Amino acid sequence: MKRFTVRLCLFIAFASVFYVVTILIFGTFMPASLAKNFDNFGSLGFTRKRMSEAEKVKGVDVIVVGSSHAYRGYDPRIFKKEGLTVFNLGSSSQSPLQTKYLVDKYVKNLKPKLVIVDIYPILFGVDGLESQIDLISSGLMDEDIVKMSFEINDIRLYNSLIFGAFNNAFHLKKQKKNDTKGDTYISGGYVQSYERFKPKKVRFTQKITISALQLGAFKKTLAALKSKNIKYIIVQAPFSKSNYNSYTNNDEIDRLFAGLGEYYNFNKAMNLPDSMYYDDSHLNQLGVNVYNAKLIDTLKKNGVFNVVTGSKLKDSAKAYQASYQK
Amino acid sequence: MSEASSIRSKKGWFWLSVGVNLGFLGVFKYYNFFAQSFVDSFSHLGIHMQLSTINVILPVGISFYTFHGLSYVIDIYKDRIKPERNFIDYSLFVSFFPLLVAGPIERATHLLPQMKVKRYFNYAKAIDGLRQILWGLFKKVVIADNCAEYANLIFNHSSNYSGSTLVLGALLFTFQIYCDFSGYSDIAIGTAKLFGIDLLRNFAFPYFSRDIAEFWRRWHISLSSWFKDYLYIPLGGSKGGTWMRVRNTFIIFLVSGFWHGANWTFIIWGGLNALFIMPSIIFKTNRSNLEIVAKGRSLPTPREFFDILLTFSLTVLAWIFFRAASLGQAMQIITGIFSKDLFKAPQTSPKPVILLIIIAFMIVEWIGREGRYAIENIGIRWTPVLRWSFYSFIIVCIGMYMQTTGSDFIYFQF
Repeated sequence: MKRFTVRLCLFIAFASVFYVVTILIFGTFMPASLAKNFDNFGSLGFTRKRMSEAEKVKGVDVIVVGSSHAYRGYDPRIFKKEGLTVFNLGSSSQSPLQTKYLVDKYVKNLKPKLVIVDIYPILFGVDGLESQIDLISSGLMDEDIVKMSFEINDIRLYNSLIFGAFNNAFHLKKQKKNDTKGDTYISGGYVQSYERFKPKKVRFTQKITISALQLGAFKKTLAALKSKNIKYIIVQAPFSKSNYNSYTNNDEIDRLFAGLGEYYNFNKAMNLPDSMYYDDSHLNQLGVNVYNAKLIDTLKKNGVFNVVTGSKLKDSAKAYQASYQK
Repeated sequence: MSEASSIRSKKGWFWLSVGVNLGFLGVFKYYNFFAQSFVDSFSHLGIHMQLSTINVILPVGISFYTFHGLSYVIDIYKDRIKPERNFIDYSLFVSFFPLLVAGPIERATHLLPQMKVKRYFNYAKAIDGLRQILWGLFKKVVIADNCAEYANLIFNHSSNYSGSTLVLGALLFTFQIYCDFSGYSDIAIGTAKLFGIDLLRNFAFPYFSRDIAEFWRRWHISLSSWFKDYLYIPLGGSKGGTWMRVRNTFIIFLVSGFWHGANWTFIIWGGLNALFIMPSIIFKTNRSNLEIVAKGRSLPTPREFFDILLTFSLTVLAWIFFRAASLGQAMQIITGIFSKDLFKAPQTSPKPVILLIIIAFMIVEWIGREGRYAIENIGIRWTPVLRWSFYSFIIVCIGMYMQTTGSDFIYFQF
């Protein structure tokens, strides 16, 4: 029995080293298509660039968090014209689990007076794996990331963690999915694109499901902001009509988020043509110009930007909220 | 039963025991099937009846432990073993955890004596068990679960797919069910070895069989041999004339199909296999391929290769009935396969790397076909570092290619 135990322990140690070395070889030399559970490594949407910029920025008026809707939907140059500095902390498929992590990590440095929490409701039903791999691929590796990865518990994450740890230390040639052509990174975390949406497939109707884990993380993020006296608003940036209308429970979703804070759904407030979208889910620069103007106008009217100057929420904002809660 | 004062009394106790065992199985597994079939057959005559059906969850593994129990009763009746007086030993025999939910179906004559003796830790057996568990795990999570993803997609929407896609779906299910079930058996047998217990072998590389009779000596061996010993031989086996052999063969295959589930698809699957095996039963060639194919050689002869291919194709055809949700769907799939788009590229398929892994897997199975499981003897004479690297490589393959959404073992439902 003793011999068995010793040999088994030795084998576990040997196999662990073998596993790590093979992952490094795969990640460095092999094409991603040959590694089924390790084919997503490589950040998308300039997350690495955005996060390294975020490390350097000290103090902004507004930060935006959320998925690719966030980093493709809020142009810091437009806000700058209004005298507001904005940093966009959006990342690909960012679920509330990752939003919580990023807010906890960057709010101290960025010291925002207002946080725009952009929501893409379908991401409240995912496990957060894709976004977690994106963050790991972008060089984010700390105790919280590891803890969160164990919570999500998926072999693809563990493979990414192994390679990510070595990649950060030794800058191995990493597997990388190319960022979409036509995308340009704009300082402040924004991604600009002039690509136009070409509608092809018919979307099937579906119901948005909300996972208790993701909703819990979302509530914790809001509570953390509240405890730091940072104002937040929850915003649904517009996406194409065919996409939005494919969800059967949009009103229910509105009621849920209106109950969690000051909430704006621009899918109901705006009706943008397909030419203003990059794909059926994201705005292109033309759409962003229109949307941001409308957003700024709405927030101004409702006195939301007054948090920067210290004024209180206007009555018109309260009326706006009441319309969702009906 | 063993202390009965007369043969009549012994028979009485025997049939009572068999009745109780089969009664539980009948109520939980087959009552709804018979009730519904009864109602359906009368509705064809214009008589509409209503029978209440039982809405209960089927106990996991009921078919397996019912057969454990039956083998015990029959062996006592036949005086092959003495009744077990120790309740703990008997309970352990019926509910030994590795085999409780999906076999192998053990015999009291084989397992009970192992429970009775004092066991000592056996290093070689434990190492062998771990190796078999590793191979079983690979088969389940890499091959079976990856095949399942596409097999399920194709079978669940079969009417939308072309002939070539349906063939691919049937092939993927063929690999899925083999790797799912034999993978479970390997894990169960390997786990038992860690406790010093030898379980019956359940699979012996069935897809390298040269005829259907050989296939059934190599597929789900513990069930096939159970039916042979407790049903086929008591019915007269091969001793009678041709008609008797044909009748008995059909009976065991139909019962085997019905054992899998209360659905006409399983019964037709059983019947189809009986038809496939019939030529060898009639011409008494069913025991012509007892040896391992191409034993001592690297490659089969062209004749052997052709026989393997033909047997494999018949098996794939039969699996369509096993997997289909209904007879109608099975027929739709078969009709769809033999359509003009059979030679077009499939509409969906697994990633090329997964197809490569399936091919590599079959090569390893071929190389290891003289062992009890494929990697039993692979690397035994290599240096420890090389051998450990081989096992570690399998672990890497599991980590790199396992299907992360996973699924239950197919035979848990039986």
